[in-house]
Formats: sequence, C-alpha cells, structure tokens
Amino acid sequence: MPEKIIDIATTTRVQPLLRVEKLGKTYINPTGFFKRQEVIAVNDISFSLNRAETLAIIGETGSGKSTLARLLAGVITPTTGNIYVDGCKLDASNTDLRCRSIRMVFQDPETSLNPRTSVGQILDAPLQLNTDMSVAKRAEKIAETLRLVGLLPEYATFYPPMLSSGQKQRIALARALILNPKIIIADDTLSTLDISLRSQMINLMLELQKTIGISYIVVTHNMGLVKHISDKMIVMHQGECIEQGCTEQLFSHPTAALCGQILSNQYNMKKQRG
Amino acid sequence: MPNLNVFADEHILSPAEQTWKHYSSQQIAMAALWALGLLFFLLVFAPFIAPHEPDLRQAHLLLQPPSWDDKGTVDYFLGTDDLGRDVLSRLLYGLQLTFGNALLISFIALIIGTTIGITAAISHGLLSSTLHHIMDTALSIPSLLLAIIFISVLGPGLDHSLLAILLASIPQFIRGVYLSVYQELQKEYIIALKLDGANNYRIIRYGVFPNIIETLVNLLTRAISSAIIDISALGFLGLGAQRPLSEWGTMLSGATDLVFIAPWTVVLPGLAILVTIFIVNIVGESLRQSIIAGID
Ligand SMILES: Nc1ncnc2c1ncn2[C@@H]1O[C@H](COP(=O)(O)OP(=O)(O)OP(=O)(O)O)[C@@H](O)[C@H]1O
Ligand SMILES: [Mg+2]
Repeated sequence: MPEKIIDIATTTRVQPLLRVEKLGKTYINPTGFFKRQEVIAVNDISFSLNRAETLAIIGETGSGKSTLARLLAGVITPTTGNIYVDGCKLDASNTDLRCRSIRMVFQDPETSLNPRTSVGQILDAPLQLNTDMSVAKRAEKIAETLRLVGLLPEYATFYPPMLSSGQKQRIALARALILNPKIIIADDTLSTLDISLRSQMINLMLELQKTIGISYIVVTHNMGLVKHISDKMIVMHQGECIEQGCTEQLFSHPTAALCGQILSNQYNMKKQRG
Repeated sequence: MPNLNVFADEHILSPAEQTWKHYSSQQIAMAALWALGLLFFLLVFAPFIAPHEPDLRQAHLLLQPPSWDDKGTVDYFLGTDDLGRDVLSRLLYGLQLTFGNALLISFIALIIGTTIGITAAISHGLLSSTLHHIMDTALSIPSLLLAIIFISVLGPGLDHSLLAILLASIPQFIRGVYLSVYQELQKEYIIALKLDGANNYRIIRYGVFPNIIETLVNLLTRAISSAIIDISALGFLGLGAQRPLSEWGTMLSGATDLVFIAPWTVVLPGLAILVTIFIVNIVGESLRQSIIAGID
C-alpha cells in the first residue's frame, strides 16, 4: 500500500509551524437585483512557514495581499483551501486555537484601538477570553507585555487618544503578543510610521523573534524591508502567487519575468524616493 | 532602584470623567442641568407642591390675574382661568401629563428602538434590508402626521395619543441606532475584538456601546422634545388629552378665546412648553458635545 506509507512518512516528518494548502477567496458583489460580480481576490495559494521564520508577501496594489493576510488571521473565511497550524486544521470549530496561535497587527493603529477603552482593557480582552488567569495574574501579564514592547506598565490606565502613533503601534503589537502566539501577521503595519519609529519597531520585532521565537508574516511595499527581515517571500499578482521561495535567491535570480519586474520596479522606486 | 513611577500623581481621566469635566466647565449647560433637575423635582412632587386641586372650580374667582398684577393675589400665584381654576396647580399637574409622558414614551422608544436597531445591524441580511424599506417609508412621514393617522384609527384620547406617538418615534431610534452600530461594526477595532475571540454580546457591550452613547443622547434629546411638541399639539387639536385634563396643549386650546381678556391663560402654558423643550435641548446638546470632546 504505497499511499499508506506516504501517509506515515508525512505525519512522522517534522511538521512546519504553518501550512497553507490551496487557499482561495472569491468575493461576490451583488451589482444589481439578480446580477452579481465575482472577484477572485486570492487564488490557489500554498506555502509553509517554520518557527522563527519571516515570510514577506509582496505584490502590486489590489493583488490580494491584504485578503491573504485576513484569511490567515481568520477575519474572513476562505472559499477554498485549508490552513494547518502544527498539523492541526483551523476551521470554525476551533477559533480559540486560531486566536492563541495566529494574531494580527493592523495597518493603522489610529483605527485599530478603540478610543473609549483604556489600554489595560484592550489588552485584558484577549486574556479574559482565551485564558483562565485570575485578575491579578492578568494585570501582571499586561504589565509584563507592556514592558516587552518598551512601554511603562502605567500606560495601562491611558486611553488611546492620549498616545502618540508610535506608542499606539506598540500597544497594537502588545495586543498581538499578549497571548504568546506562534505567528504574528502584520498587514502594512510599518508603512504608516516615520522612518525612525519604523526602524525601532523592526528592531523590536526582530529582537522578539530572537528571544521568543515568533514567526512573522509581513505584508509590505517596502523592498528594502523585505530584504532586511524576511527569510521567504511570496510574490502575488492578481490573486495568484507567481513566485515564492527564499528571499535572497528570488532577489538575485527571479525566474518569472513579471516577478523580476515587480521586484526591481518597487526597489528602484524606493531608491529614487529615499 | 530609581523611582520610575512618574505618572503616580497624575490621575488619568476615564471618558466619563472627561465628559463631566468638559460639561461642568460650561456655565449655560450647568444652568440648564440645574433647571432640568428642578423640572424632575417638580415632576415627582407636583401633587405636594401644587397649592390647589387642578380641577377645583371657584365661581367667585374667575379670571383672577397673576400675583404681580395689581388685582392679583399671592394665593393664586399665576392667576386663575375662566372656570376659576388655579393656573399654577394646573401647570404643575400638566408637567406630569406633558413632560412626564414625553419622558416615558422616549425611554420606552429608546429601549425598543435600540434593541431592534442593534439586532438588525448584527444580522445584516434579510432582516436589515426588510427593515430598511419599512423604516424609509415610516420616516418619510412626519411623526405628528403618523400619530394623527394612528389616532384616526384608534380614536382620540390621551392613552391613544401616547401610543401613537410612541409608535411614531420608534422608527427614528431604529434607524439612528442601526446606522451608527453598522458603521461602528466596520471599524478595525471591532475586527480586532473579534480576533480576540469576543462573541456578539461582548462586541456590542464593550466595543460598540461606548462609541454610540453620543448617538443615543442625540436621539433621546430629539425624541423627548418632539414628544413634548406632539403631545401638546394633539392636545391642542383635541385629539390627545381631553378637557378637563391640564395637559399643556389642552390648556392652550381651552384658552384661545381669552387671549385679550386674560393673556396669562395662554402665555403661561405656551411658555411652559417652550422652556421645557429649551432646557431639554440645551442639556442634550451640551452633553453630546462633551461626550465627543472626551475622545480628543
Ligand atoms: N470586501 C471586498 N469585497 C469585494 N472585493 C474585495 C473586497 N476586499 C477586497 N476586494 C478585492 O480583492 C482584490 C484584492 O484586494 P486586497 O485588498 O487584498 O489588495 P492588496 O494587495 O492588499 O492591495 P494594497 O497593496 O493596495 O493593500 C481587489 O481587487 C479588491 O477590489
Ligand atoms: Mg492591502
């Protein structure tokens, strides 16, 4: 029975932390009473990610990067395909597993923090909902996480409108970190920050990766950043993955013509601008 | 170890405290709040404060002018009407009939409308689109007209007019709450809360509710003032409260013949309606401004 042998072989092999199989998302927009338009935002994407690795997702505007990030984070449900974390399939029945293992940092900290709840309450919500820590334990964990992202524990009593945008971004990162996730997804998180704050955040994230062993999935337009932090990358075009692999190799020897164009275009554009 | 606790002596204000700080710094708003407090006091204790029975007719004291007039007496502080009834007592009881009922109706409409509005916003589907069409139809008709249509079916009377005004004011709440909750649900911090594993109740209670209080205050203010106007308008037209009830609009309609002989019987109930609406609006609007000011 060859299939059985293969089956055993795959299960005994070391599981990648995250495995994505043929993930796809089709939006259906009603354009009239009976007419509807289908938008294939993400089509047939497969990849895997190991512990303490960083995956960069790049591509033109509208190529489906955010959609892919949202699919992984569980904001939207995929039309096709599956996501496995440590070999365990994620679906509607185990949302708590997803909450604990994959967390998302949103693009804009101005809109991703509720202005009327204090930082402490914002950080308390995931703990309350996903752990059975006591109140004192949770407060301790919140203080510890705030220190981890370089803020004083006293910030727990602050409200988001009182914070600067760099501090807000740190709070957003703290919210993602507080459940000790295995993977953090950052959708264009860094592009809204100015250069010094951005490099601070990147250093913070890289340091956390070294100390805690978190994996990142980063969506960005910044090729310099991709080169600097990522181990693997996925190049997307119109919902399809046109190329994926090791970052260094792709930058030096892109196989698909379009991929080379995207890489050099965006890299040169960045060079010209800054 | 150095003392890093630099914020220890600085108390961080919660949104509620900030709202109060902003509100209490405005003198007109505070004056209106005191006036509203006085109205509530009079509303509750009207039977104890009123010097006379509202329906007590005294044939020897017809059309007594108010006390500041030469012919007036302090016993009948705001004078008497054409049947010899004390105007002050009637106005105080009228406060319960007009303002009290307007409050009651608005709060019931708030509760029903908010519940339906939130439910519809969560279940964006058939319910909300059906609701949308019904609401659009209901809202395109002015509430007073809608109330008159109800009354033409139910028949005139205070109870019927209250029911009609209640039914006419619920759509405003549903619409207002639905829209603001729907907008709120699109925000990224709600998605973040969902990713924290929050259920619908928690999302509404902790994510949405703190951000729609401003809308609720605004809707409630408008509902109370339009309920006061509608109740007294229906009373004035003879469709709502019937004589001898001392509802303010009814008092006005009974006194229209007396404008030239006894102007106080017309001016005073009119003034009562005007001042009450004025106070409610100042308090509501200032409160709304203060709530908004709380976040920036
Ligand atoms: N909610 C939605 N309903 C319908 N279509 C959508 C929706 N969200 C995204 N799309 C479509 O899916 C495609 C991919 O969008 P997506 O936001 O993932 O692009 P992106 O790569 O993140 O672009 P950008 O770099 O500008 O952020 C686009 O064509 C977009 O119009
Ligand atoms: Mg995007």
